[in-house]
Amino acid sequence: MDGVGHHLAFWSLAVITVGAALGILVSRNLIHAMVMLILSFIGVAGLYLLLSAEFIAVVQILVYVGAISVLMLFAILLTPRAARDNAETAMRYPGLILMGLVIAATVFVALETDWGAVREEPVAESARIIGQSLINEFVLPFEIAAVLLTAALVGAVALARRDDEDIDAHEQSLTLEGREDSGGSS
Amino acid sequence: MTIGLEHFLVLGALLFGVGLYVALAKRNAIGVLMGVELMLNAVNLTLVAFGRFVESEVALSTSVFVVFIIAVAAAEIAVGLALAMVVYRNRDTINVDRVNLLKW
Amino acid sequence: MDFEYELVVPEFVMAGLATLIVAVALCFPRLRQELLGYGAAAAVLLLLVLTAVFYINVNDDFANIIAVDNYTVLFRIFFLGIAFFTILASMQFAADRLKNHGEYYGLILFATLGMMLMAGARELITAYIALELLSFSLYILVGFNKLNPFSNEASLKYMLLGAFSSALFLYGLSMIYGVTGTTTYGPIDPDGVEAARNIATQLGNFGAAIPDPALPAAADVRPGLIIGLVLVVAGLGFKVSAVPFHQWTPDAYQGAPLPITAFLSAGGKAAAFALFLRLFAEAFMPASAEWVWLVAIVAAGTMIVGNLMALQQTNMKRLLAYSSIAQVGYLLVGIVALHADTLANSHDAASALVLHLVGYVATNIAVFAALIAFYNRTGRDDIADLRGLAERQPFLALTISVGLFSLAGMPLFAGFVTKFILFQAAADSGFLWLAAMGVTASFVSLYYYLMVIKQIYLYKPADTAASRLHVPAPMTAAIAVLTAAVFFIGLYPTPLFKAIEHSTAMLFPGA
Repeated sequence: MDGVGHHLAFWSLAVITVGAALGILVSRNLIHAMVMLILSFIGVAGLYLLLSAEFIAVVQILVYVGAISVLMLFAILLTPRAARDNAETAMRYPGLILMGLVIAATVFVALETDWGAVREEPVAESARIIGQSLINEFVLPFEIAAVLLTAALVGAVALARRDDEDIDAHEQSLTLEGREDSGGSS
Repeated sequence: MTIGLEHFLVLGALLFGVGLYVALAKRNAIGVLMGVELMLNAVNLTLVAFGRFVESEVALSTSVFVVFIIAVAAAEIAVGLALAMVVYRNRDTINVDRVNLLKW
Repeated sequence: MDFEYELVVPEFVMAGLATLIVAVALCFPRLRQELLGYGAAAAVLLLLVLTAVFYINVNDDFANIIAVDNYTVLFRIFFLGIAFFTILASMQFAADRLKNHGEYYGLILFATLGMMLMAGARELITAYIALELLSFSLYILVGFNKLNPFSNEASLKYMLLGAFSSALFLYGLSMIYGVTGTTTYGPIDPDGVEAARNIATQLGNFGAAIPDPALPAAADVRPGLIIGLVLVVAGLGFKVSAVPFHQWTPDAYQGAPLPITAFLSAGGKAAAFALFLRLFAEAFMPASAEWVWLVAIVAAGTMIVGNLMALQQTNMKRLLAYSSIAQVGYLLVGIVALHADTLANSHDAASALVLHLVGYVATNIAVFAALIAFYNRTGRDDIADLRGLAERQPFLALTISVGLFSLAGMPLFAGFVTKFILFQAAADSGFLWLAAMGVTASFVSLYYYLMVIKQIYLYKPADTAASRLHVPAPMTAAIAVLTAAVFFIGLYPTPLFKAIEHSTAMLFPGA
């Protein structure tokens, strides 16, 4: 990867990704932070393309940008009476120090370790290989993941749905209001 | 200079650090989840970079790992937001520092 | 690659059972709720017996990602037992205070499935997904009491911290992958076939007198390995609630419905340790000198902080939360003691760890079952509410006292023997200072356990009109069985210890 195009692509994607992440950090508005997060996701998808992981890039766009971000936006819209700001807690300064330490340590590690990087050419036909490993050596994790999604779904529904009694109470209050309205006309 | 493994790893480290800060310091539960998603993206980027550059016996097991992480992350968000909705329904807030019936 | 599906039949049955219970509850909403609980408990018990009959000494593996050796089978039986007692203890609590029983029991079974897979996984991706299956089920179960703000809040905090710790754990795993280029734990699968490439072999140059030129040189990969290990320990530290990653524990314990607190303190911890032990014994052993100090510091901190914080609690659930943190400290000593001169010492340490885990879990479920029976009648869970329990319900008073004495490590009870063997293993491995610290911490813990026992036995009930408490027969039977187990392990641990030694031998093929 030493063409001008690669350099240009990497550095611009890197700036977009990290810049957008910093945008989340400084943003005072939750919706703005959300937009920054989506931008960061797209930047990471571009980096996957640069790493010849086309399949992962597509999944990244579909799941992160398409599903997760929309879900989070819905959650923001469904909590209208909650504060919309994106302010920090008292953990602000400890958090900043920890962030500095973690970045310093991991960057040091990334540069100092001999990762034995040897593969010059990317693996061809990555989507086919991934698909095959999902039904060969990784078939059991694949099935566990299916169970996990079922459990998460069942649990999320059990938590988020209003129970019968709540609905009864809600309907009762509605009919009471209706009675008051009709009471005036009769 | 060639764009190599180290470039992607450093990028992943930066993303992870920023995500860590956002997850630790933001007070809105959805903000915290955004931080966690950033951290997971950093992990995925690191793994894909290793898959591209590091010699391994099972080709692209990192990509399989990443696919699983993405699936789990989606479920995680669904569960997290369901919990946030339940808290909101009872308390009208999802700020973690105002949700403090229990000693944090 | 051989796919012997018959090896993972218990897991498949468990997944089917969990789904079935949710479906039945959904399709027949008029079904009596107790039937769901009894059905689930009976099915779990049957599965436990069948697993014990068909899988002991199978020692095979599924595509080298799930080992079905005696270690896995021991934990399968153990986890099914935990699920059985949790469901039994939940029955009345759920009927009185919770809704959506189908989902409740279903999620307990899903969590148990995750636990069983965690013990068997010998590959990082599988281990991670199994861990998340357990965690997700627990996040939801902790918040299952939807109308209770404490429960919601505990669940939200637990979930956010859990997601955060998973990210740390994953970043650690990615670093380990970068160093080793593989996700498989150990060199030899139980068939005796050499696994192609694996973490343990790739780390072989750490601690080796003569470096193998085919493997990555220890000096070159050291930074990456160390940060990977630090992150993995941090991530698992959150899951087992080790200091300084323990802050979620008291909140989650206090907010969760009581049976789920019991499940969390028993099953959640036991499963995390099953994974911890297999990962560190099978995969990270060659680099043990790199992680032993880290784990030793965490263990020492956990023992100290857990016991000191427990001293000032007024709520029974929070007290038991800090007491369980202290127990995690003792268990981590077992992980530290894996780093020994000889493989035999490491094997002893692993056996001692599992023995203490079994003793701790049996004791803790007994105490919680008694507290649940008390809570079902009174709706109270402060230490002061237990005042005069000996007069109102001598059986529960006895169980709680036996359990607390066992947790403190008094002779006669399970806690003494298991702790003794554990600290002895630590001393044998050259960590006398940790063993001494553990013994001192145990003496401190006696104080706060005795404060509770004092309330139970020395004071009259606060409310003089308070009558005797009625405990239903199935609950009495369950508590009696668990209390008997605490005495049995305390008085005659040999058969259990032999079985455990036999199963942990699977982690050390050379020994």
